Amino acid sequence: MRTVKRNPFLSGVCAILGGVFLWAGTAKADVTSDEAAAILVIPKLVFDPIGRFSPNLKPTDTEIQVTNVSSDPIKLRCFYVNANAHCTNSPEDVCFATSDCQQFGLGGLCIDGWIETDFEFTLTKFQPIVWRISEGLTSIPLAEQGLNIGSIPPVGETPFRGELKCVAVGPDDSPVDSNVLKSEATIVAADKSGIDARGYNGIGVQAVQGANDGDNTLILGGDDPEYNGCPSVLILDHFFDDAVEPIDGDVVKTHLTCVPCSQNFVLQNVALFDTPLQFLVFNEFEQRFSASRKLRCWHEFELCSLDQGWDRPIGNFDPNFNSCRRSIFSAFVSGTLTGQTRIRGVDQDDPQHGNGVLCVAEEFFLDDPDGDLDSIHSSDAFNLHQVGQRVRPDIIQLP
Amino acid sequence: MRTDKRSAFLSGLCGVAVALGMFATSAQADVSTERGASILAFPKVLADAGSDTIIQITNISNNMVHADCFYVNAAPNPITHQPLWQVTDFKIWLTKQQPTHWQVSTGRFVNPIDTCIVNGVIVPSTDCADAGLDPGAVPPTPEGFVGELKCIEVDVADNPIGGNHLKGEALIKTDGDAAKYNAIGILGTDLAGETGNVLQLDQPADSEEQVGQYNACPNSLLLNHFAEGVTDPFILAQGLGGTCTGGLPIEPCQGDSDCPPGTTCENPPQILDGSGALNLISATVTDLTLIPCNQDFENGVPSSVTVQFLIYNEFEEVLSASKTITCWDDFFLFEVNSFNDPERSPFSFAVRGTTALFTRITPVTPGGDFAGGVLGVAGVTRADAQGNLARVAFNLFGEGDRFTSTGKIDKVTLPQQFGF
Repeated sequence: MRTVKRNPFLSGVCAILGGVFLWAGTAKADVTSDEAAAILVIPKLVFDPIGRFSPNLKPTDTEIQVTNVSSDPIKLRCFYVNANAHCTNSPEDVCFATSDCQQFGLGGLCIDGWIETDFEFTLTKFQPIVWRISEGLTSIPLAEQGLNIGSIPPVGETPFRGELKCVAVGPDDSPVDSNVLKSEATIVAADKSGIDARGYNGIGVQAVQGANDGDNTLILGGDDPEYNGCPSVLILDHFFDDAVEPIDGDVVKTHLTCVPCSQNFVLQNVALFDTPLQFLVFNEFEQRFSASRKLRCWHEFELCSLDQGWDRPIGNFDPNFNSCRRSIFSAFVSGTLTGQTRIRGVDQDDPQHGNGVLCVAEEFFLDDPDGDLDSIHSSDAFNLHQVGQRVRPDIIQLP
Repeated sequence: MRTDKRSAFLSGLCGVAVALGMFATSAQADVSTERGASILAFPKVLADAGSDTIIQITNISNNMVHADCFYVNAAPNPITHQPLWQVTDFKIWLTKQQPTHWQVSTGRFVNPIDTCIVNGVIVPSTDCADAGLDPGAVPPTPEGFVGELKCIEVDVADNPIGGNHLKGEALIKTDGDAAKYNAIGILGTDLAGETGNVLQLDQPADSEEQVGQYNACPNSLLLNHFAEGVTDPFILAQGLGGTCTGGLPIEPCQGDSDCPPGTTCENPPQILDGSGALNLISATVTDLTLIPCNQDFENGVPSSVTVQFLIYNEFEEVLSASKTITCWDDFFLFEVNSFNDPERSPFSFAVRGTTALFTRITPVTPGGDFAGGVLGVAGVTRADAQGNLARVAFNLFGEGDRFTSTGKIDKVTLPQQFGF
């Protein structure tokens, strides 16, 4: 019979090791949305001039603010990622779900897209700029004085949903370890019936000082990092879908937009970074549920779709679409107003890259007591919290 | 005789503990809006006319967590117009991984039978918003409350600890419009609570070792914002801001100079009306809420900090301004030095000529032994030509730390009755 007794020596060693490691990671080894960094990730961009593809059905654009917070000029190499999905039977038409494609002929599929457009520009010391993604900037301020170069193109498709990533580089376009960039994104919707806006901080990935080898393979985390690693777990505090917030009695819906930390801007293979996401959901009774869903390159998830695997077709406003109200993310199931969801990208043991993810959240407030989704009158957005960092490195491959 | 044998279970546990420790990395040595922390600061909490706030706090650990919370009522004294600085405290405790929330104006009282279940079916409604394990009795705030909320992680005996198990968000609804920000977290170390009810914010940002109790406040706050009074670029482009008279085609404008000869700009940007009251038309304004890091809840003495603003426009031109923050302050940027004439402010579009501005906010090093750091959040309000408003809240970026740059220590002094 095995004898299992507590070993005080081992317990002591364990406690010491645990204590040591608890504080071992004092280097700022994480991504950040409240400190300047060398890589900017803005996960959620939307341009929709007619409002057909936006939750609040208003013409929508995204305003991006980027600032060089240092006293030295800096060059940025940026990438718009067009993540529009398109119908196989009508490739020029954007879709959210395969059912959107059936109007073009039965059998059409809605296939995720991932097309990057890169551009570069410089910023002088402490210089802020702002642009709308629908317009870009034909000339960076101070370019006429010869102090700046480059331009920012408009996004490449109408409508547009996707991501922006910018990397601090030197004059020769090689990545540098300058943690000098900060950014914000504001999604503004406006028509004659009113205006709405929601904003979040760009996520920053800080460079490890002196570690950058200047090549186009950016290593985030791991044993030999050039940049801080992506979070091990993301934490989202949220209202459960269909919860009724007590101030105004609005019904609340939450969307989560996620991108993988690893990206290959050379191959642009959408399936390359498929990552299963695991969700642990806690309600206010400390009851725990879990769910999982696969992330492919970029995706905006309605919370209640996370455990059911569907995407809402364009123009569908049914709050109980596909049994949305039977989801573990629904207040009709959780029985409490708010919850905590812990999000983890499952490691796929791919030797080429890790499976970290970055996300932002948006909340939509609906007038209709029945929760019809065409009654959104206000929204907000916010950054997620995070815990730890990934064991294996994530890789961003630049062209 | 003692039997010393290797315990497979314990060894495994040790491995797990080490692994967990490796990834806890909880000593991020600066304040954070994205990490679990031991002190949560919600700088902007409103429960006044037209506004109310929902506080969300979550225990991100697998152990029960206790916290002492303090509302600081900074509503203006009707006579002196200075902030009241009236402190109300309460306790909360959260089971493992438990999220909780409350509405600031109503609080949340312990009611173990509140439920959303009606006839065996869960039916969400405002009547059951408090369903869940109650975190303790959370009092409602007084009418007209504006101020901050601070929650400090403590053990069961009310001793402050550096567990870093708390995260939080604040949702502010103003006339139906929503804006949300993450609570500012001040991470604690193993030394937290060493000086009893005086919490020292003296852990340097770049230190690999625990030498202080809590992370020091940032040396500077960084704010990207729109120039005061500029029309939001998208609202302008949509023709929903100022427009030139003269019919079609609609020509957006921000002043008569943008219009063809003989025409004028209708509904140009306006911040104040003729009487000096706030009246946003086709304009964007940014408000800043700042609180001193140094606070004395024991003696009820509000701290004052003077902050310097360095304001850069898109042409690298810099102007400066300053303001003294006592206890708590929420102000539009133009109010820093042009209270009644926004167009003369160094934050304004009229003065700076560019849409985007970048402001570095740095406290002036005070006398005495405290560092004089500040924490804050920003709000942006956009208006169209009809006066429709849209609000957004942003967390500020931080840079450096006050302890390293000044050698002085910000302190949060808790009331003694908490069992020290």
